[in-house]
Amino acid sequence: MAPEVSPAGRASGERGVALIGRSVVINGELNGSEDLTIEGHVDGKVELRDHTLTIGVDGRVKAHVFAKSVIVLGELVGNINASERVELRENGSVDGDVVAPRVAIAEGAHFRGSIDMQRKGQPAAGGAVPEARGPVALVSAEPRVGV
Amino acid sequence: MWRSRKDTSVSDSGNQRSLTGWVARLTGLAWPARDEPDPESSPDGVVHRSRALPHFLKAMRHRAAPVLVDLGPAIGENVTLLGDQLGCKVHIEHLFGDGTRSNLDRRASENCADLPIAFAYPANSIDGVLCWDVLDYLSPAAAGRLVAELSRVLKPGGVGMAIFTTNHAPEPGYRKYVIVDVQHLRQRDYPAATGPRRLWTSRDVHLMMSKLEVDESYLLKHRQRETLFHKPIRAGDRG
Repeated sequence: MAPEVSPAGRASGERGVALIGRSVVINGELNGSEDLTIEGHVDGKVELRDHTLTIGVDGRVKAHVFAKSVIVLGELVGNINASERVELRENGSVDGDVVAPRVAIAEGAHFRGSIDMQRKGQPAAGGAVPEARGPVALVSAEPRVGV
Repeated sequence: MWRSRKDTSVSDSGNQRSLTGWVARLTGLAWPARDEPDPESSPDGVVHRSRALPHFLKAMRHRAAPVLVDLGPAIGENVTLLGDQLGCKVHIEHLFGDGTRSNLDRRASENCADLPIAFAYPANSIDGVLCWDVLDYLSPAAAGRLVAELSRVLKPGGVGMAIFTTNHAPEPGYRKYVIVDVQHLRQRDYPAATGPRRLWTSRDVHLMMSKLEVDESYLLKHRQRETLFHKPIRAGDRG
């Protein structure tokens, strides 16, 4: 489904920014190859692999999101996979798991879930329990109280 | 019995040689280190040097793709620093938030004895836990349940850090701990109705963490105790 393109969005920047307006409700899969701002309601899946998704202040998204960067000012329920960055701005809300190399959460934002910032090349988390190793350089053999 | 610490980056030798050091060792009480700098106030909160945090981060750095649990609200600075420093995965488990925006960041003002504490993570799956001051707000029963859960989910050798108040005076509101850098924490206080804050003695902490092992406790000038603990490695854990 091709999102509605806001003329204002075109005029405001050099690159095109598609806008899903406040009154728009989308149920289903949303794919695109340009930056997108959602101010309406989207339920399903959002895929903008090489572009930025912005969920505006009035945006309500219940979806699994794939994008290069994701900026949340409204509400998102669902997981985020971002290849570059996720920004959760003040009063923004995310309930879900985030996978991104860089995550920024502003004061006053709400987040519930997990944040995976593991670098490429690292073994995946949550797999088999690796060989047990003791805590590094903090274990004395017996409990102690010091200062 | 006291043994020398392997890591000497935090020196307490002055206290060990002094009269106060001997009293501390005999009584289990501890005095703040002489070189402990005074906390620095700013409009954004009070910054103080953390003794436990560098050790916690150091332990995590030695683990590939560590998985952490943060028992406080999501704090952007912490997430950013942990990501930059460790490239880790962080589970946010805000025990006192119900997950809704209306109740965001509000401490449970009721008795927390019945606070349900059960994590969805598999056993032996977590490398590190940031408890902050959560245990101060729990009843002994609830604190015991939390520690038992931590003992279950931590990997053998997994490390945790907790903060306890040593201040008898009531502290209004609640506190967020922001990691400024690897050695400093910023305390941001927020006015709010809170439940009673418990004063855990050093002995209480050791008893509470009987399934874990307390490694170090640092009594700080600003009436807090930072405690490092780990899950012991039992025979058979190494496979």
